[in-house]
Amino acid sequence: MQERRVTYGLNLRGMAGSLRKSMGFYVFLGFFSVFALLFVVLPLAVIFLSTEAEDLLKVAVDRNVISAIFMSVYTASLTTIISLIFGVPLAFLIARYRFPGRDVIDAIIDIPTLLPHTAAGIMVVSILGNRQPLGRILSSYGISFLDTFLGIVAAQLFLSFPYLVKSARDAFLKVDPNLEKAARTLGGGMFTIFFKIYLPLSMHAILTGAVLTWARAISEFGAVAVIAYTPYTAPVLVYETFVTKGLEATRPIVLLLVIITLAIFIFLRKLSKIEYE
Amino acid sequence: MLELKGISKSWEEFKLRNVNLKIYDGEYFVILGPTGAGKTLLLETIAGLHKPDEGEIWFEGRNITLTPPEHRKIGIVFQDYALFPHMTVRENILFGLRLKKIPRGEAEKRLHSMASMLKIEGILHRYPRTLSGGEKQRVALARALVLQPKLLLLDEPLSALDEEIRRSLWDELRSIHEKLGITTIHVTHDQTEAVALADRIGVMNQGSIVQVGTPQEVFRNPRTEFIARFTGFENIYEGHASESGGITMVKVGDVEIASTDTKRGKVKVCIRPEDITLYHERPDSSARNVFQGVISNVSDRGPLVRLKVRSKLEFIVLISKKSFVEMKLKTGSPVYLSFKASSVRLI
Repeated sequence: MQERRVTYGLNLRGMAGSLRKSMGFYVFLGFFSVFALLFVVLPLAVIFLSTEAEDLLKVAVDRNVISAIFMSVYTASLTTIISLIFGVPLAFLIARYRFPGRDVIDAIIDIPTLLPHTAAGIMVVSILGNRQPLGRILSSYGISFLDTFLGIVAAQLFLSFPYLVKSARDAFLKVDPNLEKAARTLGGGMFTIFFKIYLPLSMHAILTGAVLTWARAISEFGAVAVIAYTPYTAPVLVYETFVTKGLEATRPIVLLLVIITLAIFIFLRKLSKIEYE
Repeated sequence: MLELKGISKSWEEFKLRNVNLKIYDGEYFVILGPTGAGKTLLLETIAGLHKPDEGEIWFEGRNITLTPPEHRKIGIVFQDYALFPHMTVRENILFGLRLKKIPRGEAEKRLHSMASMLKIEGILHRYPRTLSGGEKQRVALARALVLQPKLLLLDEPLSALDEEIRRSLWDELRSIHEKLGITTIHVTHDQTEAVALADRIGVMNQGSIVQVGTPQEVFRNPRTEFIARFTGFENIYEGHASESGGITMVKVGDVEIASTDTKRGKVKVCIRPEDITLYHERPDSSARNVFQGVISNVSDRGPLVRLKVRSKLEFIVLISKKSFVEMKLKTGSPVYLSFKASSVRLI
């Protein structure tokens, strides 16, 4: 007991010494961190402080605003679900198997995240536009992407799907390959191994990827505006209002968006934190 | 019976080269070899996790070379145990039973009899990360054995455990083996473990099985210098053997060593350090081989002491700590050493 107290005291003294020595470093860290934080905090603070509560309430009951926000949440959720259904198997293919072209596929998945978003929008229109081959076939069945919610989803999907694939891929890669071998010798086929071993062990990372995908999708403007300026999503409505009615009229909408997005995002983060214990 | 016929396989940096091996029903067979010898690859190939490049695997009269692992009735325990971290001990053990669609009642019965045999009833509700190494080991064994496999494969099952737990698990593995009568192949790099457990040993080096036999055969009569070294013949000298008066005399430099082996010509002389005895005075014994020397190095090995004795040759000698203390030996002590001609192996 006594010996313990002695070491404890020594440690404290050591810590104080090293604190003094690294003071300069903390000043350096603090200086740059405060500036970095200001970049984020200042715009948020200004929006909160410069908006009248009355104006906020007015836009909160505005039918156009509500339907744009609903359209954003609806399309981003749809995008996330489609990404999950198709992205998780693709991620598993890349993570688990070695085949010719695997590295190429791995690299291609990154491309959308590197493009300017308007360029991405042009690419989506080039496939799904009503006068393009695939778009023409689909529109003859009454499925049109120009200025419909399907177009919004297509644009969001192209840009946000990679986030899901990458987080799922990294999670699958982290699973100990001996678990798969053990499962096989215990009688498991590949379906069992995928659904009972890989998927549950990667669920946390996949859900985190889904939240990222959702966030990326709901904030997309450039690509969405190219293929489907209407029906308005929240980002397009903000742009439209700003261009036609000016800054003062737009601010309350932006504040409302910030509040709603934050609330949903925090909720999803909580949800994705549910882990197998 | 499990029979490997000319198995070759190349996988990552590991290789199997023309492995031929017969393992009999009910046998406890230990594959002994250094790290990188291909032991794990061999085991996983037997389990069906790798397809051999060449050769065939026969099991109970059937060619199972291409049978997928889930249909082989072979259980395996991995070196890192490979317990499913998101399942409780109970779920881990039931995993295979559920896949085999064993009815619930029967599955519960098997789970509990296995848990009681391996003394893990108390931890069934826990998750693997909360278990000690020894507990994980038992759970991995239970998970494999509960499916009543015809063959049990153990990949360095004890290498991650403390010395004390290892020794108690040796006894337990033997007693489980005897209770269930299950044919077992156990891979290890530890010669003491091999001797403690094996009915027969197969020594493996660079992807080949280089010698097969009972522990006595392998440890008394190593076939190559590699096996001799690996099984603890620490004194190995090159020499020339010829017959002289009904016994083999080997000229090593300017000394002669007597051996009861009958090999002639260029040989390797191999002597185990524990077969050498030390004396203060020239021994008046029947031993043919007596040398005078000086202790040049002492190192403590628990109950044993390892000495280097500089003589005309340098010898490594293992003696008990008790006799080391009684003889008041230390670095620089002059000693006589002797060993029987029957302890000298010629390769």
